Amino acid sequence: MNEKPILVIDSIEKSFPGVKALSDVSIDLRQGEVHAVCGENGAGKSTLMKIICGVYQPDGGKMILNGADYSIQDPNDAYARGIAIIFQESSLFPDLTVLENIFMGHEIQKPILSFLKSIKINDYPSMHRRASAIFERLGMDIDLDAIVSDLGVATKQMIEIAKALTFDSPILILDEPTAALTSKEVDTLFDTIRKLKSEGHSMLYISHRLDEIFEVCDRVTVLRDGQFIKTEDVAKTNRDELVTWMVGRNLDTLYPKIEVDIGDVIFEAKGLNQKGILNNIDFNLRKGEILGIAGLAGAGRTELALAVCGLTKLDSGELYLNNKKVSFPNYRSAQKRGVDYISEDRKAFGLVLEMSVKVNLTQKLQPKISNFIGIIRRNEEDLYTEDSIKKLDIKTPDSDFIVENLSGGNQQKVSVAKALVIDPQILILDEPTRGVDVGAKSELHRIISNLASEGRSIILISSDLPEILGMCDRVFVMKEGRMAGEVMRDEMSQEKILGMAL
Amino acid sequence: MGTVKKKSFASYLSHQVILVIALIVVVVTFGIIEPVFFKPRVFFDVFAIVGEIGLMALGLTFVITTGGIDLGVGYNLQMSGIVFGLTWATTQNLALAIAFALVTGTLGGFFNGLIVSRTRIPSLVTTLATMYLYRGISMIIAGSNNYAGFPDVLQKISTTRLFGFLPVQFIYLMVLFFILDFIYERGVLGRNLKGMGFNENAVIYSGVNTKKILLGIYTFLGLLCGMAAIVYLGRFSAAKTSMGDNMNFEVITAVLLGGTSTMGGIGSMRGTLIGIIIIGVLKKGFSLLNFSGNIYNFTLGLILILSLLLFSVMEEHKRVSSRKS
Repeated sequence: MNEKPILVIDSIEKSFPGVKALSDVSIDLRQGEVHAVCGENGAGKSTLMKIICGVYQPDGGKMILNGADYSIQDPNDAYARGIAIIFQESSLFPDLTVLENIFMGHEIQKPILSFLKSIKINDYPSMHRRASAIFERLGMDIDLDAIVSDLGVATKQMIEIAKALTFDSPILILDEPTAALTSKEVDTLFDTIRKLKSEGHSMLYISHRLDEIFEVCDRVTVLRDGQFIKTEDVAKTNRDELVTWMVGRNLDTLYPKIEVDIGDVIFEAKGLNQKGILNNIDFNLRKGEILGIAGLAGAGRTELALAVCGLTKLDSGELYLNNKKVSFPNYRSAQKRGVDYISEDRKAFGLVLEMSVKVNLTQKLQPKISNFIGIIRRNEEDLYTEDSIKKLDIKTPDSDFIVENLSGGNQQKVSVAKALVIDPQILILDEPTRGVDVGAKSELHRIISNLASEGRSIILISSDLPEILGMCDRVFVMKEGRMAGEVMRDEMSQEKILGMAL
Repeated sequence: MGTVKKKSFASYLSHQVILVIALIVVVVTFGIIEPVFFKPRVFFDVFAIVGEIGLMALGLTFVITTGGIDLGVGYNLQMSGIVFGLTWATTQNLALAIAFALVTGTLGGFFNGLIVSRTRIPSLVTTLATMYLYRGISMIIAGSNNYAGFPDVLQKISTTRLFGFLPVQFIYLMVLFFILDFIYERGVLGRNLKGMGFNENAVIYSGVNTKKILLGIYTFLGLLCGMAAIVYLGRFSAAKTSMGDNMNFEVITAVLLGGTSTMGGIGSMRGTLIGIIIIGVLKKGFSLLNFSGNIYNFTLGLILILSLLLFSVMEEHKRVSSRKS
């Protein structure tokens, strides 16, 4: 690593109407380093990145690239100057091939005929050679003619990186690159990052997952509420210190688990089958227990949850609730028996973002708070709504506020509260803390612990192994639609769970 | 942050205010050209000619709120009317003819609902196909025949004036309006319809059987088409294959004019009611002024596109301002 900075961000200021998004933020990115930028949601990370690549213009401060002042109009300009940003959400065209995506907008061209210089066509053989060389450099074997929509999230990420490399960008910005990856895919990504680093590329790395910062980054800059807090060598700090800088206070603990006397088996599944998805799954759940379900993406965890609560049909299998055989022909019948599910994807499945907090909170309560012709009793609705908002401490101006305008953590709380209003005895939470910041995460964990201590039984599906270790009494590991193993709390370790999942 | 809600409330209001202003402008314009227009009698006449359109438009508001559409309500009305004519011609039994017309309309809607709720075929394509299917059925049954000679009772069903001035169609329309508006604004159904328009999956994941709802609202719309057919026959006392020809467009225009979004999620029965009245006023005005049907259609098309442009500009403005705050 070279001590000389390649990109200097000096005292950047940025305001939006009514909000100071960034004030006096400075970062220096050295050649060949991986520099983490972390902070809670709303800390200003995304705004900063958008300023660096020209989506926003700063109100004050300056940026110096390779020793010269630098201002930039738009992301294309940034590409041309050697700064490539790889966004959290894929910007690839799903219906085009890998090759077409990589060279989208800067195709290599050649004259249609040697004497007709003005009419040009795409030079696919050259692009093919160039792209192959890049993937070879990354140590990846990818079919360049594959259609992007047929590929997995991890491969798409690699394509984005390859696309950046076709510009020969010395500076790469990676925005939450691991958010949708499984741990194995994360390892591959890290190998790539290390390789790029050794070739002299500099990277700004934005992530919520603190472990990753310690694994792959050299220095870390912490932002909080738009303010610059600190830049430190990763080797000189630790996880707890980082969290303290990020939240500005000591988090007593990220996993506030309450010890609960675990009762009898209240729910049991025997021989659940769903063709090609679930393969002969047995499990049971005890009163007051938090049962984790771990596994790689695609192992069938979400599918299991959907089948258990009647959102999809089982081909065969039996469910027992309090030792009595039950069947859930549809989701509402499961809710009536006290079994509920909270989706991993609150935007697509969990909430109607365009509607109010109140409408979302009481969506599952509709049969209970309406009369026989389906007219809602508004006073009862208000009662439940106020109660939920208070209980989970949802930060919203009022109950008619549109959910879309809440922060991610508060949206997630609405999603959880929506299930709690029907007072479920068995609650399946699918990735409840994905994409929320550390503060909200700790709060959600506290809520989960409290629910278990009230005697409810929780099934916690999570890809976040520290979360499984921190919260669960027992964990089932799923692999390719089967149960690959069971681990009790006192025997749990990341290695053991991962070993079963792989 | 609290201003966001106020803003959206304000634009919701201004939207209906714009509609009412448009209505007043149209009425005053007609009144200046033809002073007869200011007579209360004429005002009530408007309601005597929008009965069929109104019934169907109120039902269609449910469908469009979910993000769907029914392009062929006019041809469902036509099919129901022809079945009514055929039944009357063969049996001379009015009750049977009414029952068959209602059943036909309902089945027409049910079939649409079945396809839309059980398959992934968009309602736009589904109803485009079935609208010609239903038109074809009328043509096959009736050919160039006219069914006429219906009993006087039928006429009374749609042309009676209570107290000598109030068209009975006004009563039908208002009764249906108040029921549907209440369900739309305060009912579980209305809420789920809007939710489905925004994000159907989230509604399904709350335990709501959205397939049943879709089937229900298309079927209900079909029933309203059947009722509208009876009201229509009461007014024109002949069932022929040209009935309902222009209504597909008029009904959709009334709903969209009222501010219900084709994207789903946003809408109101009140808006639709105002849309219906605007169409009625135009119709009445143009017939008083002896304008041709072509000019009426031209004007309707123009008004629809202008109002859609206006709403899209307002929507964009709302989004920009909420992003800023």
